[in-house]
Amino acid sequence: MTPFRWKKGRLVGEIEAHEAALLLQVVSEIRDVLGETESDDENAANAAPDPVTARLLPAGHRSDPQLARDYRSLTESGLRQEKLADAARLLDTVDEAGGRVELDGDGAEAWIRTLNDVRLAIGVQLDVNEADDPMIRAEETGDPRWAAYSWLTAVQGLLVDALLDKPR
Amino acid sequence: MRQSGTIAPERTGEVVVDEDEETDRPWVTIVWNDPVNLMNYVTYVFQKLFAYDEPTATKLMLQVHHEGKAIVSSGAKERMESDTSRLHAYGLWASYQRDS
Repeated sequence: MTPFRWKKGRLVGEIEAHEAALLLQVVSEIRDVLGETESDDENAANAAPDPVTARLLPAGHRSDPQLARDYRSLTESGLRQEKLADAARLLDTVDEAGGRVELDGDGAEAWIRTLNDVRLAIGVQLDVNEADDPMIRAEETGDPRWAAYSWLTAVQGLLVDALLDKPR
Repeated sequence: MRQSGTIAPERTGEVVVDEDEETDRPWVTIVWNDPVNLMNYVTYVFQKLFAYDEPTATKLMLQVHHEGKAIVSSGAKERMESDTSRLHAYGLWASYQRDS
């Protein structure tokens, strides 16, 4: 990929076909995770959320279960919808063949939020901690999710840098 | 790199919530450290959501990073619920509680 640069008020970058494939795969997965609950199944609704969902939609209050329930009933549905809309927006801007990616301000925001959600999900699955070097872990474990995590981290970091440096 | 001061009053220890007696204490929104969230991202989100200038946002980010948490806003309960959900939309690990 090439770093994103501002061109006439839009962030423009370029990604390879295999990078586009990775993005489409991991973002579709996060969309499935976020879209799958809120079921009518009484048992599913009462079950503890899986660890990824628990991290993407954390408790709003840490010590008072009633306040935590109130917060969840007030915000969870809206947060799911926002995150799903962000994921859809990212998917819309990526061609599976790769190539030029052009984002307006809202599109770039959707990208960094979705990349963050994807990284949180992989982080939970891999039990990432602050001392981990993803590339070293990728070599040690042979788990492709570490390399994916490393690349997604780089893309998110570059986009955030570009947003922080937005020309006025 | 530990920060010398705090932006908002903060004490450690368990928070005891007493709805009847402590109504004059404000509520606070806290961001907790997370091994995944990028430092520049957290700084960006603080600027974006709370209109903090860059030095303030950076200072709060470093406080989260080094001390494990930081209070990022304070005020009425409903506003802290709203701030928490806006932070959750960005994937930051946030919660709200009565100030300790």
